[in-house]
Amino acid sequence: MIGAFAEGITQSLLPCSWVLLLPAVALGVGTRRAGVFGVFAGAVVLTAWIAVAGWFVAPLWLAGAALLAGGVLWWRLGATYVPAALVGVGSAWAWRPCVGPELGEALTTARYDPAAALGGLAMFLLGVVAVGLAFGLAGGVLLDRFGKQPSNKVGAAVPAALGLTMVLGVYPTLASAFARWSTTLWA
Amino acid sequence: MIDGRESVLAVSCRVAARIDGIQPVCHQVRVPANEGPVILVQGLLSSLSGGAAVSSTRMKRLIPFSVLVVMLVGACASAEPAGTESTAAPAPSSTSTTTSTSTSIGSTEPDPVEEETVAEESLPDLGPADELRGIDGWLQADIESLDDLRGKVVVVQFWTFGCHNCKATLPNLEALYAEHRGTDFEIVGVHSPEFDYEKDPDAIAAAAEDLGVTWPIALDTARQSFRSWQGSPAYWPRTYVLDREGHIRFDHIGEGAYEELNETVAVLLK
Repeated sequence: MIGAFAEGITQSLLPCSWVLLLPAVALGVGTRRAGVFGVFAGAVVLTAWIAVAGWFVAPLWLAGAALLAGGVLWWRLGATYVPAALVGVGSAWAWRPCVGPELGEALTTARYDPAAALGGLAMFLLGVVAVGLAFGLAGGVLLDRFGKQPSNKVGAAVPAALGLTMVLGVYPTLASAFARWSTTLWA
Repeated sequence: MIDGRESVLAVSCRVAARIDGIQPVCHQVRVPANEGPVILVQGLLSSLSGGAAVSSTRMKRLIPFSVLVVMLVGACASAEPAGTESTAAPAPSSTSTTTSTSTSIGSTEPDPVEEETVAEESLPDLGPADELRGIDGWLQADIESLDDLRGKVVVVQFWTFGCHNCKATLPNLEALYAEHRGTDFEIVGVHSPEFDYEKDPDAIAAAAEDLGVTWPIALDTARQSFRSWQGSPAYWPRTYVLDREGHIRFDHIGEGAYEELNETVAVLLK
């Protein structure tokens, strides 16, 4: 469990995790409500779990639509439960994981016994999300020091922009560019 | 990495039935322990749908609580010994041949020959492997299909050269290839590109040389084999071991499980 959480933290810095990381950062900047963080994290975990079990794997356009809807609602209503849930669901649908040893164990198990895989998967995802929220909260504190309140509007723009790239079909090109850059960096 | 871009929109009948059948009292249904998370999901969905008797304030309190409960139960479920209550097929990668042997024989000192026999029998048989489909070329090989390798123990790995996790598995495969080269053993790397820049055969050949991949590479440019073998979702890397009859005896997603992989190959070769 701890290993999966640690792997989530380390893998959060790879481009394949940014579709989860960036909305989490935005959420950390946009709000300080622990309940909203919980709904976001829960939506990510449950949606990803359903996907890795093979019960429902969403196409990218649907993930984009959820992110876009979440971003628009977030813009209008603020970072509340419903936008957080929508953004969490959309992020998890769009997630294409880099599969390290701990996540690999969970994903392999999920094909045969989904319930047994939930814990490891949840801990991995919470590791990724925790890094994003930590960055976001730190960013919010820094913004406060400069006399600016953490902005919901800026936060809402992140999932909306991500969703728009998916709906328009340009996200794979961006992901490819980041992946190639990442490969060069790791080499 | 995972592939789901062309995945099918489908929900398991089991889960669909459960979601369709949400009842306010669903938490009272008695279920096997490992189905607890499913029922809790129902509870969460019920909360989100705003059940008739639940006020909005109460609902706001219930949602984060439900989320936490789901995670905690999931953690408990995962901590249980694998296969204690599940009726599903055994997770093959978690089946250690050594563990299986010692479990079968008990505390007596096993005879080496007997240990090998028992270990091979204890390996899960996941059925005959599919043929590779839609392969548009081979690199570093004089074969045209897996049929040409029948009678050999074959490691089949779906990979792509831009995948960080795939590259992390290569040192173990290199060592395995070096150890068993010249025996009835072969590795086939099925190169299934995720991005356009990974589709160029020259780039694949150059990457193979850089990465020390000396075994046959099947070019699965359209990812037909990638999908037909794995279904949805499909991942990079995914490693299978086929026995001499072409049956899948080991299956693992991602990095890791190297010891189990190596043991499976060693047992099947004996």
